[in-house]
This record gives sequence, C-alpha cells and structure tokens, in this order.
Amino acid sequence: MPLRTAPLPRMAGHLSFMRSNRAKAEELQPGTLAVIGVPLESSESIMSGARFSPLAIRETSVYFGWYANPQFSNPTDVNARDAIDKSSINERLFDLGDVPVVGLARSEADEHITHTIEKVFARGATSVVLGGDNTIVAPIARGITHGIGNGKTVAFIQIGGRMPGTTCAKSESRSSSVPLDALLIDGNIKLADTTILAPVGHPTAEFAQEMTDSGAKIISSRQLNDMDSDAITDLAFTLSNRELPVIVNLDLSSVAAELHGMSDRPTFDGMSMELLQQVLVAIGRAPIVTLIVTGLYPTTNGLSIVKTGQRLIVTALLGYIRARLGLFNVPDSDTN
Amino acid sequence: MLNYPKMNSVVPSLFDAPHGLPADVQPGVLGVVGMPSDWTHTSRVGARFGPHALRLATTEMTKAISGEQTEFIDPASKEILLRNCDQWIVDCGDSEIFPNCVEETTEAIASMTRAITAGGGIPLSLGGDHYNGFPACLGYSRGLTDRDPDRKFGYIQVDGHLDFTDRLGAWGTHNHATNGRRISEFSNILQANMVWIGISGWVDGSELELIESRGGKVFSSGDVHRLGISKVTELAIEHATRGCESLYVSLCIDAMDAGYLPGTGSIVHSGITPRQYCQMLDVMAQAPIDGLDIVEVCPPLDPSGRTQRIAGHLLTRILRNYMFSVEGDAAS
Repeated sequence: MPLRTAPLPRMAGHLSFMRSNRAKAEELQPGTLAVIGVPLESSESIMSGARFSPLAIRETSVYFGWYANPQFSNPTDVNARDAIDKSSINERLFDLGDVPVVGLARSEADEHITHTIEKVFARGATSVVLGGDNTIVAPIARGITHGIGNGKTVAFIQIGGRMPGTTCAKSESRSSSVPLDALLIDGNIKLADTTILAPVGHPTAEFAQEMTDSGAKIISSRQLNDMDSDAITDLAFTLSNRELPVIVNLDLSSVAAELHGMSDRPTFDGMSMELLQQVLVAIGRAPIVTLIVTGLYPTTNGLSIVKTGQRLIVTALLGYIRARLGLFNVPDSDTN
Repeated sequence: MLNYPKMNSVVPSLFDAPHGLPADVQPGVLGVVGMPSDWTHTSRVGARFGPHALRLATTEMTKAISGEQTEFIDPASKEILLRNCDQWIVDCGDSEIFPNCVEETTEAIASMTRAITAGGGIPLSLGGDHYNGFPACLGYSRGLTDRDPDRKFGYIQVDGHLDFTDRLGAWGTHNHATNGRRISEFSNILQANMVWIGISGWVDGSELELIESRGGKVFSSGDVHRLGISKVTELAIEHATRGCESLYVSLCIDAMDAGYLPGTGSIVHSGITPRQYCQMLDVMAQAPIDGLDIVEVCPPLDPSGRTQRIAGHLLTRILRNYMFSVEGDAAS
C-alpha cells in the first residue's frame, strides 16, 4: 500500500526516502530502484559528519514525498511543463534502510556494504546509495563485481570528487581514499572504462595523459555546460555498451560551493544545480546499476540548520530517479 | 555644539520610519504592517521573527543614507539619487497574532491593511510565512473597495512555489500553500491578471492548468533564465495591469536560490541570483503598485544573518522611487 504524506504533517510518520515504501533486498523485483543508506566515514577528510548524510537526505526528501499524495494528483516539472508519470513509482522505488555499519571495524563494515549491494544486484534491481564519504565506493563496486563473477570489472563514472594524484603505473602511491585509486587497487575497473566529470582540482599532466591514452575521459564542468544532453547520455551508454555494469559516484564537490557550502572540497568552478540535474537525467537514461552519493557534510557549522546541501542533492536526484524509472512521458526512455 | 546622531528607537521600525496608526497613513505613503506569524507554515518555522529582523536590517541600511547628505549614486545604474526628505513611510507596528486561531489572525492583519488602503496609503506587510500574504491582500482588497467599489486589481507573486493548493492535508484551506488560491477568490481581483514569477521544480499540474485556464501566467525559474529577468518582469507587469489601475505584489524571498538566501522555510535551488532578483525589482519599481508584502524571511534558519539583509536590500530596490528621486541623466 502506498504511503502518503497527507493528511499527515510532512515531518510525521515513518521516515523513508521520499516517503517510499520500505522493503528488504530479498523482496526487490527486477527494474526496481532501491535506496540504501551507508552512514560511514573515514578520517580522510578534514571535515566530519558525512555519516549523518543518509538521515539528512531522507529528512529533506520528504518534502518531495507528495508525489504519492492524492491532493497533488498531477505532478509536473514546471520548467519543462512535463507531467510526471507516477503511476508505478510506489511499486518501483523502495527504501531498504541503512547498512548496519555503526560500531564495526572498517573491514567488517565494508563486508556488510559489499554483501548488501551484491544482494540487490542479484535481484536485478538498481540502487541509489546515500553515503557516507567516498571511501564507500570501493566496497560497493566489490558487491557488483561479486555479483557478475568471473573476474569481470565494472565501468565507472565519477562526478566531482578527488582524482588520483599519480599515475596508474605508480601503484604504490595510490590512496584507498580516492575512489578511482581504490577501484584500481582492487582490480575492479580498467582505466579505459572510466569517465570523470566536473572533477575537483587539477589532475597531474601525467595522469591526464594516461587517461587520454587509455581512452578514458575527463570532462570539466565548463565542457559539460557546452554539451547537449544526448552527448552526455552517450557517455554513459558508451560504457554500458561494453557490457559492463556502470556505477556512478556523485560527489557534492562537483557543484559550485556558493550553492551549498557543505562539501569538504569546495570548488567555485563547479556545476550549477540545473547542469547537475541535466547530467543526472542524461546519465539516468542509461542502465546504471548504482548511483553513489557522497561528500555531503550535513553537520557543517550553521549550515546544518540551513540544509542547502541536502536539498540540492535531493532536487538533483529527482531527475535521476525519473530517468532511471522511466517516469518521463517520452517514448525512448530506457528503464533497464 | 556637537551634532549627535539620533538615538535608535527601542522598538525598531522599517527603514527607521516614524511610528503611526494605520488610519493616519496619508495617501501615497507606505504603511508598514508586521505579521509575526508562522503558525500556518507546514514545515520549518521561524518566519515569525521576520518582521523584527527586517526592521533591524533596514534601519541599519538607513543609517548609511541619513544625515546631512541627500545626494547619492546608485552603483548599479549610475543614476544620481536625491533622498526623499518628505515622509514616505510610516511603521504601524505588528498586527495582533492569535496562534491558535487563523481566522482571528487573518482579520487582525486585514483590518490594518484595509485601513491603510482605504485612506489612500500603500500597505507594505512584513511576514511571517506566506499565508500572511492572504490576510494582507484581503485587507488591501477590502480597502480598495472602500475607496471605489468598482476598482479591480492585478496580482504578481514572486515565489519558488505556486501556493495555489485548495486544501493541504492536515492544514486545511488556510496555510502557506493556499494563499494564492484564496486571493484568487476575491471579488475585485482580476483572475486573468494573476502572474507568478520564479516557480521551481515540481508543481501540481492541475493547479498550473487552472491558473492558465483562467488567463493567468506562470513564469518558471527556467523562463527567467531563458528569457532574462527584465523581459519576464516587463511581460508580467504588462499582463497583470491589463484593464486595471491597481497592482498588488507579493514577494516571497524563497524564489531566490537557497545557496544565496538560505534563511527561509521552503528553500529551492532555482538558480535565481540576488542580482536577478534586484533587476526584477528595479523594473517593478516603475509599476503602479499600491499594495505589497514581503514574506518568508526566517532568521533562525540563517545563522549568517545575510537573509534579512538581502531581503532588506530587495525592499530598497522596489521602494527606490519612494526613497529617492532621480536627478538628471545618468552620472558618468
């Protein structure tokens, strides 16, 4: 039975992402989208509090839970004047809750994350993982590679976040706290199957050259701004066409810091909210197996009240969820 | 003898205005009404502290243009501005608020804006959550009728949200999601002259359809970015003033992107910047506005305090022609 926001006050009732129904991994059907919290952070950042991000995002997401409210019978994207087909959302969007990682040793926590993702993948469902900092990317990727077996790798799209400071050849210098490094250490991706969008900071010339030589791509926020959505979608489809599961890490640092101030790596040349949503909608049309949200620090002094970061993330995710579940009223949407 | 500055009032007023009663506001003068109520907000409260914060912020701004100097330059337009030394604003204080009774609060606010409007003054109401825009406009509507039973008015709502719901769950028919709908039911409003600017994200399509089927217009934040804020504002004013001489403007600060202005209850990421909002108000300042409100300033949600300062600055833009007159051509 679908949950609804009315007549309950928004903050009352059972908390779940966008007031979606709760489910266990074993209950998921192919084509469903599972939201999973991973309240875990390491000490790699100078800030703390990313572990509170899943709760913060869910609390903010209830503002948008009215898609299930009979009084808002016809949700519409006001910019595009595009009606949202919500007829199946209650049967296709589920909140699995948080992976139980609190109080565990890191290795044990990583095992729980890997196991959970593997179970979801095995059900043919896709997921949105609410981190956490970006050290959760590696155990999530392991869950997918365990699921596909035979030593296969995944394709990786990183939006924002840190880049390796060195080249793949210098493996001893890699840091497990940099997602791409960690995935390479694990052997779960090949550099050629990687795309980095709106990265933070400057890649070393050596690393950028190695990316280019391997066929991988680094695309800045300015370049993204000049691309149309079909070209961005093609990036994701190019990776998925290699018959590799595509995982995406969206780090809040990809968005211009003046719009939120809640990332541990503020950048003033990042994406606008509108551009991020365009990117997520474009990527969401490809068969992405998991989108991992990291880099939100909701306890940032003062901004913990303001909540701009989590509002931004949730607003951007609306576009992704619509695209992923095929809720657009267009004939060519891919629903996996 | 030293020329000591004027002491600050114990009770701050908007733009350090003199205090007065609604019935004493002279024709053409702004009458300020505080609406310190957020009991009709459905989530993050605190806007009841908005009127006080706006008064403090604008009093601080007024200090910079008070004293013996009367000539200033608008840094945006380079125009030479002469300070209006006549009385252009009176602060009538706060309305009575009845936290447990929306009807009494509504009538209390409306009685103040009605008295101001009936006397030819221009009500400027300070929220409070956006529900209070309804009683503020209700009193304006009644006051217009008192002056001229046949007078009609147009309406522009700058907002991140439509506020056009008929009923909202546990809050019923009178809350900050229904004020636009309730205002549309006044007998002397021209429904076809109702315009929204800055709407963001997901809205209810049937509400959008109803507004437009009645002839109203909705400019989304996307329209603002595509057409330009000045063009959108010109189109909005043209639409809202067709066939009528009166215009009510409701300024909800949450139309602005939350990154710039976070101290408001229902934040959106519209991409509308403070500069765009100011440009819009520069255009609106030329419109025949005879009633307005500014709502959803929520100081507890912005520890930096910039929200009330930005909101105060917005008031200086839309009230520029009250505060100043422009001298000659643009300065070099």
